Amino acid sequence: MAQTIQALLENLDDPEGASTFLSGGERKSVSFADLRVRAEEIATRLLAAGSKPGDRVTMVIPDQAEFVTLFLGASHAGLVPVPVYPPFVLSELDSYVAHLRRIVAVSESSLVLCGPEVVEILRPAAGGVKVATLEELDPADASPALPKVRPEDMAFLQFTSGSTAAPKGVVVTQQSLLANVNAISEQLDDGRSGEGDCGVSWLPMYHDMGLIGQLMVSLSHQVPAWYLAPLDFVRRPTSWCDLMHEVGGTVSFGPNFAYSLVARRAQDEEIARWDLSRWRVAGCGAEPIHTDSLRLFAERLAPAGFSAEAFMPCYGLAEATLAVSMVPRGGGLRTKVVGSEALRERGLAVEPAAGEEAHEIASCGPPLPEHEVKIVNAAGSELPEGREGKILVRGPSVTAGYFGDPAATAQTFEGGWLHTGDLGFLADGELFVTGRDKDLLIINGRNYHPQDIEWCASEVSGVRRGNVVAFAEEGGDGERLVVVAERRSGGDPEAIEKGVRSRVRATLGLKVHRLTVVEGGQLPKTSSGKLRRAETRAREASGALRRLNEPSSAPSGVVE
Amino acid sequence: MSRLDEAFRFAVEELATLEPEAPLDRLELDTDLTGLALDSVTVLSLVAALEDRYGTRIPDQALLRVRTMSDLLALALDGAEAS
Repeated sequence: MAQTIQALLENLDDPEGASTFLSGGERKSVSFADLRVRAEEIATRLLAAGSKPGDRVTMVIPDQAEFVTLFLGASHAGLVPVPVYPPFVLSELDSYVAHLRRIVAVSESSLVLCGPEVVEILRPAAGGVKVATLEELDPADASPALPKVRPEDMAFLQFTSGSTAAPKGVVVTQQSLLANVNAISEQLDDGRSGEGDCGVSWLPMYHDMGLIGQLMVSLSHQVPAWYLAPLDFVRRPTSWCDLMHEVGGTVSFGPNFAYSLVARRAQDEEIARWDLSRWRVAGCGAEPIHTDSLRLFAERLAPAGFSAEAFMPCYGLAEATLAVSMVPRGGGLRTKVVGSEALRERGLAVEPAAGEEAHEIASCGPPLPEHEVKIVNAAGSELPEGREGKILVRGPSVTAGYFGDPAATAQTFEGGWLHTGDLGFLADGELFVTGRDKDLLIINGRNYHPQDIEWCASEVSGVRRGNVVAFAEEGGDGERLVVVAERRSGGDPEAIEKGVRSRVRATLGLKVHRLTVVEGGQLPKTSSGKLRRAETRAREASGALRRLNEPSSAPSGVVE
Repeated sequence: MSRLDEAFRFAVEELATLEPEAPLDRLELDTDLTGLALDSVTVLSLVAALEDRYGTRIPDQALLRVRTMSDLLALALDGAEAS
């Protein structure tokens, strides 16, 4: 079994099976055998142009086909790709450039390799580091020898979309990458080692689920795969199912929001036209799994032959290369309904008591083979099944830490275990993820997930749904709750304040110490649209957010 | 009503459907769209709706130059004229 990308490339010999890339109505197919040849050509050119094995190369390549060949070529040359999302639609170019500069600096990249469509706007952006397309590189050395890449070498640096002022680059090694690829492949295998399978993906290649979960897994078994341009999917989400239908797709992954989007956008006549009966693995990960979204998708697409058993909820993180646990093939959506109060106050995942609010949580399956997951309390003691605590992971997919950041590496990869920063519990050997440890609010000794407060406040009339941030600040006698909410057009700030305070108090038994109502569009978000809690907190504290309601504070704490 | 005004009215109606909670009362032709905090799905859904209405395809790289609603509508209308 290959232990490096180079070895995987050397195995690519199928002249028939292919990766096919679709963008803007155009299609481009590259056979696996041709992909190997193209990667060798690119590797030679990069080395001939002066790059050395081990050099980091930041890659900003919007075109999927070009990204794949350049990524594989750089890997074949022993270089370390640093994939970065391209400047996006309507993105604020200044903040993008600042982000790119930080990544180039942290990764100590010697080159920023760009697609031709972005090279001109990025040329002044890299702080003195060379910015070029492949074609612009001058191959001075005519015939450099390709180095032998070793399993312990770096494969690539993965910067997560949430990285802001101090981005951390996860060092994915060749062996952690291939360990994860092989473990995922094993989970997907129905006994035919990919024979008859067809992968379909619209996920961006700078995202680990697209790069590893779809591309590398497909290459490892030379399974034909179709790659839809991410922006084409976002333009027309149902194009995902159009393609699944057209090519008889069997394996495809997406985050929760993608299933939700398709379920809401698909028209009856489209569903009537689709045959999705071959779709045997519908992976779901990369963000919290909402059971309602997946159920709605399965219900809407059942007439097209989609089976809910195809769902494969997963848990993972960049620090573990990608996947940590996956529901077994054919397992579908498996959930636990637990009492909200017992979970919140005592960390117990038990059936709800009579009259207690219930919370349904999706299983993310057992750990991958050769991987371990344990749940520990704040003191680091292992907890039994059914008890919520911090999720720790150990196994061959765990990465080598953060590039050039020994302090952060020591903190996160402590004692041979990866401290994920997530909270969850185990039940029947399967992992259930409940939230983020670092975001947890502890008020009067009780634990609250900010998402619960945010969802609750979002329900109030006048609040812009999904645009609420909850966090705690230090008070004189402990932490106290602060909520920042955007208003909808015409929403009355004073009515919102009254409504949010009342609803949070009634639903969660919590007093909101301070509520700040702001205009729509004021809350800071990541490039992928996720709210930035820490930055919101900093802006709110500094007064940078323009408050629409009159300042007023309630006594802090829990309502008795 | 000019073509631009007509396109603007169409875009506002589309946005009201796509993202009813967006602060559309602040939206004018020269409003910086980033200030509306529309997510990428909403923006690209609007792009798709404009492409369908005007029978054109707006290249991804052209979208990088869009700052205001006027910029976006110009791309759709120019593409329609070219095709």
